[in-house]
Amino acid sequence: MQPTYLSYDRGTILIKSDAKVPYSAWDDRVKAFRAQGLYYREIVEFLKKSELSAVKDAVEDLPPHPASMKCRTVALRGYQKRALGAWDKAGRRGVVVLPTGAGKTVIAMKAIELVNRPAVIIVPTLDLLEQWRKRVQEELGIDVGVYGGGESTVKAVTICTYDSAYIRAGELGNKFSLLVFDEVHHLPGESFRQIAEMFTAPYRMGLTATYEREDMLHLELPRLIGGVVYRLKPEDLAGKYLADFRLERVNIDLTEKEKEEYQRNYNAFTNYLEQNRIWLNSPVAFQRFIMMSSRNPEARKALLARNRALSIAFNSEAKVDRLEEILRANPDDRILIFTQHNDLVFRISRRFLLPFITHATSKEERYDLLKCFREGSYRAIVTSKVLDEGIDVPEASIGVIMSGTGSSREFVQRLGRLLRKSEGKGQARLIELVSNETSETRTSSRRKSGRKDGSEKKDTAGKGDGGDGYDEDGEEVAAE
Amino acid sequence: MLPSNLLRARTSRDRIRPLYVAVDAASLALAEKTEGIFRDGVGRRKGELLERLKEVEDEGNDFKLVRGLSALLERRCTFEAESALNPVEARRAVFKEASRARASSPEERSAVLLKVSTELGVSPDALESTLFSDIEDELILKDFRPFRGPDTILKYYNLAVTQTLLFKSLRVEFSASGNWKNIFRDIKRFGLIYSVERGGDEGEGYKVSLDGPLSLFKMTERYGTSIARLLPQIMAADSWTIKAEILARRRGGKVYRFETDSEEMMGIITNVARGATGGDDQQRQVGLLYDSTTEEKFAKSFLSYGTGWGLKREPEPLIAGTHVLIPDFLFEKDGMKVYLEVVGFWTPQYLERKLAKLGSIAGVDMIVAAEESLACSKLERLRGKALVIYYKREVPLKPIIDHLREREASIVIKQVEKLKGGEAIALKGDVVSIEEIANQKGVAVASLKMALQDFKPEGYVKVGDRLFVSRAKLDEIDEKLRGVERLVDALEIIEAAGVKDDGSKVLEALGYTSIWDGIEMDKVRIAKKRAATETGTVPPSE
Repeated sequence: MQPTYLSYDRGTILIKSDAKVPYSAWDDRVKAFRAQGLYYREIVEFLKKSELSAVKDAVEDLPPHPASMKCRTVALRGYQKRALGAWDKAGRRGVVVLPTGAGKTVIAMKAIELVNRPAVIIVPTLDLLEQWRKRVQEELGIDVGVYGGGESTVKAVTICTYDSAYIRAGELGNKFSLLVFDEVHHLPGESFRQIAEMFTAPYRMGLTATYEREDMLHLELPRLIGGVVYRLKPEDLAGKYLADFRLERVNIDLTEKEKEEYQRNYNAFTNYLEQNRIWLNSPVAFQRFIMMSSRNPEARKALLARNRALSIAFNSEAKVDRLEEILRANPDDRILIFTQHNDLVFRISRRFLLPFITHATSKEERYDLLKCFREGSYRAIVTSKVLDEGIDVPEASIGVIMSGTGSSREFVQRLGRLLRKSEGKGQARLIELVSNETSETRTSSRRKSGRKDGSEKKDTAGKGDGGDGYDEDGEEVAAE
Repeated sequence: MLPSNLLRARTSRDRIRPLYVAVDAASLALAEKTEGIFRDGVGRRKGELLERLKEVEDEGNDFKLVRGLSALLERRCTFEAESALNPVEARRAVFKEASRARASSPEERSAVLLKVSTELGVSPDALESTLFSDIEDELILKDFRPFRGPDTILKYYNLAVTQTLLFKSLRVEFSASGNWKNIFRDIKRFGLIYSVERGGDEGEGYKVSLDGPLSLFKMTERYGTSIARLLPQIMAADSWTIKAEILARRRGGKVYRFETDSEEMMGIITNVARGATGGDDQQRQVGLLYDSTTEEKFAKSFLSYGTGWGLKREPEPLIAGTHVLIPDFLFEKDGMKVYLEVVGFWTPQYLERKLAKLGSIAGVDMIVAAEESLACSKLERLRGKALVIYYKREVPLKPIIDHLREREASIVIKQVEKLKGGEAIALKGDVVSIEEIANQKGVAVASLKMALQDFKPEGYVKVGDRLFVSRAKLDEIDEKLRGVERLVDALEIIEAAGVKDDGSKVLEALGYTSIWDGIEMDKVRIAKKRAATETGTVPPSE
């Protein structure tokens, strides 16, 4: 019987076999069977079991790696041990769901130690890339490869952004045995899922604090990397491992002038809807209205009026005044200020001379800024969305939300940022500044109850449109 | 290429088409107006520029069109932060002080600025404006390179929206009347899979279908970016057609067809192959992918070896009925051609199919280099059509060079035999070169030279080693040279008589030598040392 030959081709496995292996299809263009890289493990196991013929497997092209990769200082807490154990038992495939700050990084490094073969860690942002690089290098004592932000080196442990992994999947896909996804809730997006589909790594771990997605795409994750193997909620860890936190919601009146302008614009919007008998009673209806406005100048004017009204509500001066009070009242706390739009970021930065971070901030400046914050030479930072995920910003005990979206996931992430266990830290506070009697009030309650009925526009978790119907800037929507 | 949300496209049933901008008075006016804003914006803030562009949008123009044109124009701009100090350092200093002082009121704020500005030796105002001088709105437009004219802008726009539409393509089928080398080089580099068929009804040209490995399993627009970037190379051909399948996710995952050709796009789209895509800049951004390093390495080593054979990458396609094969390499020498195809993964069927295609091409000499670990069975000669070489990581030079030498030798031998056995070579005309004869006979020059070693044609004299000149002509030249002293004059006369290039050889054959007085050509003289020889060769005594 003829031996079976396997090779890797740009994200797929080419198979020459007398027997048909599962998950493969005949590719007439090259006259061979082809399967997605994802199924490498299944195919190899099938061939082993079937004992039909010798197998010549030329799929993997692993980089050189040390005989053993061991963590130097890390010791797992009880729940971390259980999480890793569960993952191991599940065939070393699956997702671990733990609140932000519960030490998912440590679990990943222990997994690398356990598997002891080349691994790649996929992260959503360049900030996280830096953070992981530093920690892994220190902990495992090896040189780490990086793909993203201009660098491209493959080493036994490599860190890569979702974007780079997506673009380079064809080249990188067969170079690792272990695939770790940080913030794995990004993975099921239409494009990013191809990363899991084009990589051949038999062992996969996903990490996140928020597994469920509003668009239900998390249902793809079991196929892509396995099911949830371990899960804890913030309440389970609060007190013992994570700092307690307190949510304060502050309603603020608009100034008279703002009230009047808000009313004027909002009425212009609702009048148009009435006159044209348009009802916006669901996210889909709203989407349709947005599409309509891109072709109909009158509709567009109405949409812009609505956006202006919302902008007034979100960015009201009264809120910035209240922010001043908060800054004044808490001189010894380190404070993080979140806002949706760059305009407000600059207004706050200008007024209080506070360091700011936007998507345009350079890698170097961002890094330096976070360092200064950590060391205490900056007592507050104002940022637009960018620090959302998983970034280590320890010692921040107060968070202020100047404006936010209705997505529950984002709320949890932002909350999580403050939940860092550190010595002698009292309760952390999350202060939400809300404008009275505006649609923002509705947004806020939606956020708190964590409802999954969808906000006005999908939150695409990352760059892209603002999740609250804002998309003014024609920003390119993210890959998902 | 533009961000997808600036694309305006119209669908009708299963067809989709971008909304092209017509090159008419209204559009030209808009293009001019928009470009005017950029031109006027030199030396001013970007924030101002953006405001003025917004005004144009709000004037009732299609905002997507205005933004699309602006996006193209913005790429021709250079923005810089203008400030007395380095903004990053200024911020550090100010923010640190503000933090230390726990400043939050306007008075506290002024105090901070005053303190730091004094330390840095600038005015508080200058310091304050520096703080934000590098944020987008505050950047200053330093340089703007205008397009050749408003119509150029519109044509670039039309190309850009076409590419933006192709971003979402699942696969594409195209034909082009030329520029194959560049097209196929890019296809390979972008990691696309192609299949080629001899073209349509007229039988002219080739039809190429493109998609990628993953397309087998799912509808994916993953390869759309590469297809879009290939477009300018396709458009660089004199005539071309394109048929693409476009996935419109926003409309519920429906697949549309987009078709166009060079005739339809004439005059409304620009076809500058490099400039349109911004060339290498964009390549670097998206990340160029599949450099076939195996082939690169091989090409480098072969060329540094110096075998006398030339190497061409991706030569003209080989036509075999309705099949087309574009080999990876062509070795050429004196009209001899040997092809090389490097095959990564193969099954015997795949290989046989490839070679069967070649079988129908007459006189093609092919070497196939196959990756050994993927070999399904070792095959020495597939139907005697090609030499198959196996390699592990690099394609080995030796077997190929050996083969080339062998081929050269055997070709030469065969040709020499053919010549000797064939009809005698009859020379016509006064001046005949070896290359001419070789061309006529369809043989390599090397072969001819060998065959003609003892060739002594009647009435002709061999001049140098590539010319035969008639006796009569030589005598004519001899006459004309009587009394001529300067070399340059002699050469002129010889050229005028119809013998180009080898004038000095003619002189030699006629028994002249040259006398050099110093190094200037002008001063060289000629003198007859002996009588012209019969055979045109110089006797050994000299």
